[in-house]
Amino acid sequence: MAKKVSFEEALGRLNEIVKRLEGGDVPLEESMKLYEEGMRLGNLCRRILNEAESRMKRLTKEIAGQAGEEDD
Amino acid sequence: MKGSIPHERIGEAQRDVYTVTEISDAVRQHLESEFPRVSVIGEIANLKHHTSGHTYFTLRDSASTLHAVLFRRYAERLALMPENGMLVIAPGRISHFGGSGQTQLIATDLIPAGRGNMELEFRRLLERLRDEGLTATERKRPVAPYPSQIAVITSPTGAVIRDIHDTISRRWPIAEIVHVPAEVQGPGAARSIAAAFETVNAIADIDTVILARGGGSIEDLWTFNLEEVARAIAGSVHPVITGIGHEIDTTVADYVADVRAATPTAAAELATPRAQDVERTVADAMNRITFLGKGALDNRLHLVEYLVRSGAFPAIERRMERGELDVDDSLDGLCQWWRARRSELDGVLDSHGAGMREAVRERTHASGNSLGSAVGRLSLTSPREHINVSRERIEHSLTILRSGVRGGFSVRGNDLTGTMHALSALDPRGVLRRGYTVCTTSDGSRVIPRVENVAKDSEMAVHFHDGDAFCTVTRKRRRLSPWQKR
Repeated sequence: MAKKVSFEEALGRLNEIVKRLEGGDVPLEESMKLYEEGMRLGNLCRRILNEAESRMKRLTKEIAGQAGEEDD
Repeated sequence: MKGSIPHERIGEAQRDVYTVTEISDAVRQHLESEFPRVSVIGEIANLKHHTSGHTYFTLRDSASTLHAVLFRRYAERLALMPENGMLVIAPGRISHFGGSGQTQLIATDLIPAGRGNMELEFRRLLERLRDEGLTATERKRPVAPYPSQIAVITSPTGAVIRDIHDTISRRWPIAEIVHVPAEVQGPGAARSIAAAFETVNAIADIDTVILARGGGSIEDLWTFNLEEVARAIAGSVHPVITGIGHEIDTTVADYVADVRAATPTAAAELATPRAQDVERTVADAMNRITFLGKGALDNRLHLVEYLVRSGAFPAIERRMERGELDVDDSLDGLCQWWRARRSELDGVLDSHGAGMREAVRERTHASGNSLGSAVGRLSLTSPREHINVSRERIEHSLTILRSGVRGGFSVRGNDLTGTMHALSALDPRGVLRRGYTVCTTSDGSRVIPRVENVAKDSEMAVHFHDGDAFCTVTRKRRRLSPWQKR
C-alpha cells in the first residue's frame, strides 16, 4: 500500500480543490472528478478525526503506566 | 535650629533648607522605599567581622563601590564563609546611615559566586547567539497546523509528559506523541537533551518538537541556558516549541526556539489545532465543493438544453429538409446521441448521490422534451422548403454530431465539454459572447424573437453568455427600420 495520506495532505488537497472549482473554467468531466475526489478527501478527514480517539487511548494507557513522581 | 539662621539671608529659599538630619532621613526614606528588595552582584572587599557579630564589607565592580552590612542574625546563617575577592550576589535593601553618612546595602544573605557567573553567562551566551542570528525572527519556522506526529523531549516520568499528553489528546487526538525522554536537570542534562534532539532529527515524519520542563528554581532550569541545548534547538530539523518553567521564566532555549510557550501545557496547545474547529473547516469545504460541483453540472446542462433548442438541431433539420440527409439515419443518430449523453449524465449523477440528481433531473427532463419536439417537427416539415443557412455550418455541425454518435460519448477523450465547445461554434452563444443577448419566456421554454411577442408587465428571461437575468417588461416600443421592412 502507498504511504498513508496524512490529515494535513488530505485537507490541503481538499482546499486546493475548492480553489480550483471556485476559479471556474474547469471542464465538466474534471469538475466532477474534482468533486468526487474532494468528497472522498473530506470523508477521509472526518474518518481520521473520528478514529483518532481509539488511537490515543492506547497511548493513554502506556503513559498512565509510566507516570510516577513529579519532577518539578 | 532654623531659627538660628538669619532670616534675611534665606529669603524665598527658606522652604528648601533642611538640617543635615532632615535631609539624611529624607534620603534614607527615599532609598528604602525605592530599593526595598534588591540583589547586588559584586566582589567582596574590606571584609570586617565586628565583635557585635555584624559583618561589614564593600561590594565592588570595575567602576564602583557600595558599602554593605550583614547584621548578626543574617551573618550567623550564612552558608558560605565570605572572603575578600569573592564574587557574590547579596540580596537586601538599600538604606542610608546618617551617623556615617553612608549609603549602604543591608544584606540578608550572600549567595556564592557561581550564580553571579550564571547571570553573566546567560547574557553573554544570548548575545553571542544573537550575533550569530540564531534568535532572529526571520529564522523562526511556523509549526505544522495539523501535526500527525509530535515529539516531546522532557523527563521520562512526571507531570509534564502527562499534562502534554492530556492536552494533545483533548485538542487533537490525531497526533501521535513520540515521547523522547531526556534528563532535564543536573550535570549531563544538556548532553541528554542534545542527544534527544539527534534522535528526533533522524525521524523524518515528526511535524513538531516540544521541549518541556516543569517549573523550578533558576538553578533547576539552568540546563536550558546552556549553549549545548541552545545549539541543539537551533539545529533541530523540525520546528521547536519550548515550554519551560512558568510564565515568568525565560531561558536561552526560549529565545532560540521557533515558538516559545509559557508552560508545557501551553506548548501542547500551540502545537495543535482544536479538532472541533478543524471538523468545521472540513465540513465547510465539502459543502462548498458540493455547491460548486452542482453549479458546474447545472451550467453544462443549461448549455446542452440551449443547443438542443436553438443551435445544432435546426441546422440538421434544414439539411434533412433539403433531402441532403437520410431522415431515418439522422433521427437515429440524434436519438442515439441524446441517449448516450443521458446515460453519461446518469453515470455522473449516480456517483454523486441523491441531492445532485434531484437538482438536475428537472433540467435534463426539460432538454429531453425539447429534443422530442425537435424530432417531432422534423417529421412534419416539408423536405422541399428552402432555408437560407450556410453550408459550412451545417457540414460542421454534422461532423460533430456524427462523431458524437459514432463514438458514443467517448469522442474527444471522453470529454463532453470538448464536444460542447465545438457545438457552441454554431450556437448563438458565440454571438452572446460578443455582447448580444437572447430573450426567452421566463421559464426558458420559448425564444422571443419579436417585440410584438412581448406583453407589457410580463416576465421574460434574458440570456447572456455567462448567465441569465429575469426581467419584467416595463415599456415596449416597435421600431421601423430598413432591415425590418425587408
